[in-house]
Amino acid sequence: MAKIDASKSAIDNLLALVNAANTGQTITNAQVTAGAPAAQTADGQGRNTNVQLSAVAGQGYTGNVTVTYTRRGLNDSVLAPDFNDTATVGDTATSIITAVAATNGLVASELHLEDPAAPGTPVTGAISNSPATLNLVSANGSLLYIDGSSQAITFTWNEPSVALSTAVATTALTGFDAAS
Amino acid sequence: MSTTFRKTAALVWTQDPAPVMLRRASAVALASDTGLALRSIQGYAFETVPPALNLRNIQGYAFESVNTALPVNVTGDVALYNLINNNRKVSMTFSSSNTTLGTSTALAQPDANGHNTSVSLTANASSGYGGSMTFYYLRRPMSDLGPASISLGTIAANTTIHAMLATINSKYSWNLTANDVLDGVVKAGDVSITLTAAAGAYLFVPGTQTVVGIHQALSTALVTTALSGFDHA
Repeated sequence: MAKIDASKSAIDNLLALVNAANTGQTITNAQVTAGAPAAQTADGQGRNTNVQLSAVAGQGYTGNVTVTYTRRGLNDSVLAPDFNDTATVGDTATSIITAVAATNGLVASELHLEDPAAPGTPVTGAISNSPATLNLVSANGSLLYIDGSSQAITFTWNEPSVALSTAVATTALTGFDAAS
Repeated sequence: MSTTFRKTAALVWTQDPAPVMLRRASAVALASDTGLALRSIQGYAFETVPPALNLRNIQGYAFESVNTALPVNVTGDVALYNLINNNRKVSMTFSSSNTTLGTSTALAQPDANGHNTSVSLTANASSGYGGSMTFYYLRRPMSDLGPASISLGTIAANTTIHAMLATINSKYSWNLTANDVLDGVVKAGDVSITLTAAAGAYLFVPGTQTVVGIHQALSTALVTTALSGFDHA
């Protein structure tokens, strides 16, 4: 088993598995493309996914090959998870995903947020309603995580900072009077 | 366009092929000479010619400036001169005998026309022209060559990519030069060579690659397809 490298793309993480299993090969994402991963009944080694790699024309390889490997659900991907996030009202879904992914070693491009009350609909843009929890959900077709697996994020919301120049509209003050 | 249309015994529509074909031939030749794409505009009109109606074919042509196919039948500098000449507005034909091409340089950002490269053209002394000017055009990734899997023959001893260009050009009917690709080591027994576009390549985006020679089947290269998997983060 190999840890997912959060600094790499999904395809590059998959190709790291491919190259590790095939001594001497250094297949790159310029040479192959990956199809949509398909779930399968886990084999004796727990491989629950298969995906077809197809050669890119003119890059040294032809044809395609199907590889099998193990994907984990988001709720089983992090040994020491920290899904408590301190956010500021008005933060965007993208910035929240980026922060939570960085904290937990996940690949942000494979994730989106959903409101527990509206499963299946990604939350996008600025979040201003201070929800107590949101679900972090893996995208369908993710090469790294089981499709649609989710993990709840508990939020602590801070009020956004107000610019002093907005709060203090009157800047021409009166002055100090005589002490007595 | 010689189809005859019949509606009844009394009414016959015919098309008029000969002038159309002549005009089309001229348009095709002009498009070829200028490196433009030819677009056909076609319509029909009915003409009363008792006791019949003649169907007249009305055909016009529009010329569209498009990127020409990646030329491999000439060297990169000649291909670039051809591109410049196809866009010239003077009778003079530019070549290395009267001008000097500068080094192709990548633009920081593509311009409004999608061009990613600039190159200067400087008039040679006594050419009839003076000064220099800059042209903007589009270089393509080397992968656009889309080479097939063709054996380069047996490479018996260590050699270099530049030394192999004659063989590669012969096998693929290309005209690559040392200006086009970076040099590198080719080992004895190699069956494929990865070509990387050089910074000053006239046709290719620097750093882009393509592979010539025998393309290995993925199923042969990747013997182990049952991988391990992703562990906990």
